[in-house]
Amino acid sequence: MTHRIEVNIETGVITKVEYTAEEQAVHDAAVVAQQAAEAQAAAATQQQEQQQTA
Amino acid sequence: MTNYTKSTNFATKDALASGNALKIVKGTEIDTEFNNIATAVATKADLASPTFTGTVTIPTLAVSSTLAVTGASTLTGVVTLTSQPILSSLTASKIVFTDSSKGLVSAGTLGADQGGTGVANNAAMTVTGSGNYAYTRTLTAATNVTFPTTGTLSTLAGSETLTNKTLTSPVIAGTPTGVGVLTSGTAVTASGTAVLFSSIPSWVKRITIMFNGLSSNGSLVWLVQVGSGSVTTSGYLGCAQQLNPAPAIGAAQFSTGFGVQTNDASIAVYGHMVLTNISGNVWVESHVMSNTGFNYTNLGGGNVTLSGVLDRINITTLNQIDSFDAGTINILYE
Repeated sequence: MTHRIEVNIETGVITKVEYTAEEQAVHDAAVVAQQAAEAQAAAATQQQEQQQTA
Repeated sequence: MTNYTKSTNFATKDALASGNALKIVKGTEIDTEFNNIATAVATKADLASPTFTGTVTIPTLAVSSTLAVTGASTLTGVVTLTSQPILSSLTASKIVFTDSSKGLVSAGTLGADQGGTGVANNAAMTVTGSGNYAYTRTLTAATNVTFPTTGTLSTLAGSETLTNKTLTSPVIAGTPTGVGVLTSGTAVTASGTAVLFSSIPSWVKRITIMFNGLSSNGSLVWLVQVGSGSVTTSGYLGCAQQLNPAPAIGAAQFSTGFGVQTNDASIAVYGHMVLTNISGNVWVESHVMSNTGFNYTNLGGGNVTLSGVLDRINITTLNQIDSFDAGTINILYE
């Protein structure tokens, strides 16, 4: 489960806040979208390099 | 004490006829009169140095020389002293007022040489000094002085709020805290998609964010966001750049936070980001950081206008996709 850290500087209390199911779903979708975008960008770069080589 | 009472009326004898036996003045009658006189005189006070017994009632006593009271005496009426009284030779004891509500009453003032202040004081015992004199109290042992729990006094070791005080060349032995003092937050090991510092005081004008070997598990840019009540995710101006030998990453604009350019999951960033409050709720940002082992330098600057007083800082990654996996973060605020 993904989390974030919250630090209350008034009290010094550090809290690890786990994502809710909804937040986790949004996060997972964003990760998948990012991975797809990176794969697409890598493919485009590879294609461009092949064209230049040819 | 006996008054003289006449026993024989000698005047009536003059009217009696000769030959009347009562007309004769007898020696016994005369002797009786003298005895009566002797008794009366012997029981009256002498003019010089009389000695009284019992209760003496004197309507008005005028003492022209010395009044000596040698025994225990009680004055039951109002005693008015019209001239300066002198109490001397009080060697055995001191004057004691057994009823505290009936102490000395004076229409004037009691001088400092007599334990007073020299000026008139009120019922609240407000001590008013006249003249420029130091208030000196010389003590030879540890002494506690108890002041009111509230008011305008300050005690040596108490916790009071001082107003409008000027400290000249103060020596601060402890760690100062409070408004306007450089204060450190709490260092935290970074993990997860964000590290949020909350409850930042409203008086803060400058914040330094310390990145100590901060690393994320991806190549996405990092964002530092501020907020008032909630994290502000829009309206940022400025850009950030990462300088590295090759390939260089050019400057990029970021509107969802103050960007810190990173492009490698293996780098660890060291450096500072400084936020300053230029006016109102407008904050100006700049940062210079670098990496170990990769010869990268991160720099940038920006600005954001918040809807209210800044109370939080959120260090995160673009779209909160990557997670921090190493390093510590803390803030200094002042």
